[in-house]
Amino acid sequence: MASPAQETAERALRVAIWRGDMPPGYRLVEAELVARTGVSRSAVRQAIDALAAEGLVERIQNKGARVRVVSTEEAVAITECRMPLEGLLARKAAERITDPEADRLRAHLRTMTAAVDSGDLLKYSELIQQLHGMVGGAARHPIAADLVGRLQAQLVRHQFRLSLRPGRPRVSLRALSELVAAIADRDPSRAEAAAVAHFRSVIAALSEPTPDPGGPV
Amino acid sequence: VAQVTGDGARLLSGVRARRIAEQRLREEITRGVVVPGQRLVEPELGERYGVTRNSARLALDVLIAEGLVERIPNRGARVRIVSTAQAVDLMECRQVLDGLLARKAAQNATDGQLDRLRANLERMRGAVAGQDPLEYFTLLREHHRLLRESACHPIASSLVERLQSQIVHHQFRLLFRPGRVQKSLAGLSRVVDAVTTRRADRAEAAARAHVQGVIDALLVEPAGE
Repeated sequence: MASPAQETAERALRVAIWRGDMPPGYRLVEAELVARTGVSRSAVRQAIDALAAEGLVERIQNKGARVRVVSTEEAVAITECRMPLEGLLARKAAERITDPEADRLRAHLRTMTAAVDSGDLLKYSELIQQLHGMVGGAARHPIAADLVGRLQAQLVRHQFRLSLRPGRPRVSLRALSELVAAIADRDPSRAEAAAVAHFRSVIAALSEPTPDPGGPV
Repeated sequence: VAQVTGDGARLLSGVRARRIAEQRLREEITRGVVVPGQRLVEPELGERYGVTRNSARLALDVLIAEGLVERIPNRGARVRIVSTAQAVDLMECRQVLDGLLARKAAQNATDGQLDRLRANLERMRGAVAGQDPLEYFTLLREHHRLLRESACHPIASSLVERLQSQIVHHQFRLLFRPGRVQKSLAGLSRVVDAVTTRRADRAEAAARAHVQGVIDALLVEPAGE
């Protein structure tokens, strides 16, 4: 198991990468991370190892590590892996979800709908991440949830860009509504199909060439 | 870069040494040379692989991050123990990713790769006929390696490799159960048939069905060993 110091360093790195404080290509200097997180150099090194193992950062020969640059092609390949794993989580969630969890899932969908209606895309983006977290929790399948979480971490920037595309939030909201309905109705096959269909549409959208929307990518 | 030990042996250090130790230990865990629960002591590992203690420690850090090895508070590290329930969960992940790899292999494999898949399957048939589960195990790994190579999907391949190394010990034991290699061979024949005739949907379904057979076998495993 990871030491508390390593976890502190890992969390700090993850948040910084997720928020874009450390953009793709950013050099990770151990001394700087020690100063930033207040943990030991060896804990920082272990945190970098852990993030390198999941592909969030990459080692550069003799020069330490940097935040990995994920190309569109890679984002598609990552989503291709994520798709059947999300299908598995959706199926398990439909089998295992409790009543209070189903209620929370439905309520969360209403919040997502409101975010799309009001055009708050940053919030919608965050709510989608939370939705996948809730499905992962209801599935009670920590290994699949962990794999998906690692893949997801590499995709956040691409997905956020995607959500800025005109019309895209409505498409994704429709697909995710079907996912929530199928899980809440405890229909495993339909839930798996809904998750797969959603990610198939994400792959199709990622593969489309698009002008850079600018904005906070 | 090299360090000289007390008895004059030269130990490698640096990035290359870490990689050597990492690869060798990963291989030994996969093959069951070191078993779940076994203590991993840095100086011993260093000596065994001819690298410095520090390189051995860095290699352990990598394998810990991969979930192959776990730290024990104040007592170093050991090969991670994977329960049957965890093995089933790992297999369920493997199931859907194997489906993806089989689909991609049906779409992307070169004719040469398909020939090698067929030839390897024939050798597996021979191992089953010759009642040689050890040989079958080696060929089984080659089968999966060929499929991963044919799929041209490095991300799915590396995920599957990592899942695989955590459950290989369970799978290895399964192969010694009466009738198991025959079932495994039948399942993989269907996968190879679908892949080599380039039917992607069928390849995905066959790969998933094959892993379901492994999961079912894991679940009927008698408690205790």
